[in-house]
Amino acid sequence: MTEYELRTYQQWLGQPELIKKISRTYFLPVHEILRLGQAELRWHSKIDIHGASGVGFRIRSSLAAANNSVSPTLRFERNLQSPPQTNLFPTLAED
Amino acid sequence: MSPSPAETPENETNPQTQDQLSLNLWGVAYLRFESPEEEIRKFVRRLTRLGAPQWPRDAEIVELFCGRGNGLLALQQLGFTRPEGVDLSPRLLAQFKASAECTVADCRRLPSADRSKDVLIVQGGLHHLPALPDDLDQTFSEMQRVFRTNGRVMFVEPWRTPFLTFVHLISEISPVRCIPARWMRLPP
Repeated sequence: MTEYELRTYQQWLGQPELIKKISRTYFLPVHEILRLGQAELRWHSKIDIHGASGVGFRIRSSLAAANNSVSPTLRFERNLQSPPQTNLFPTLAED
Repeated sequence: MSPSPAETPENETNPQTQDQLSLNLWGVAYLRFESPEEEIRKFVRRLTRLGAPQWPRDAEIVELFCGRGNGLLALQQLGFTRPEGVDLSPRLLAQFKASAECTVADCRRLPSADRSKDVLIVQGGLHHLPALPDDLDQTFSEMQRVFRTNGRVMFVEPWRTPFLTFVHLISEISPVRCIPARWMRLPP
């Protein structure tokens, strides 16, 4: 598919909110790292995840990562006592 | 000196040849960006950062859009015994010479049974999907169908961070494009 790379690459970069919205339709975020020019995302099944110890949602400033400096990291966590579909908004705690 | 393929008159009028040439140029650029060994090391570091060492070594892992299979080799280096790969390109899959199972298939229609996999990995494949949002929706739907309860999904894709915007901006400047690629290489 490399012959279409430029078109699809620009299409992808141009719709971050739509991509996030579709992703959250299917998966729960466990770990999100934005660094340099890429996103590293680890997700969890949205189906029957009782018993999981928690869900984390982590963002690191890409600019701070590029400068290789120590940056404050935000971590959003909550315990999963109920099916996640009922409440997708985590509570905030600082690292 | 004989003219390069790009300069021959046939290539100016033959779209098929031009497509092939374009494909080759992308391939050359890809290989110049990093060697297979460098890519495997990058994948190992990335998988480690995203928690792969905590996964069971016998987990059934599928790498979608696996290309030449360097991600599968990285998984094997980390000790995983059951990695599989799926890619649309038989040409790329043919370059994979190790022992993991690889399948030529469209990731929008995965060739796996329902609830049959523990971990699904995509490293730089989703941004090749031709039609957003439909193709992304279809791919995610397939992934959700295939992975087991408590399954894990890992994506690494380009993202428009301020850093990438800056890189795009300066790469539009002609003199910058003349800087050798190895000087511009970013940390993984």
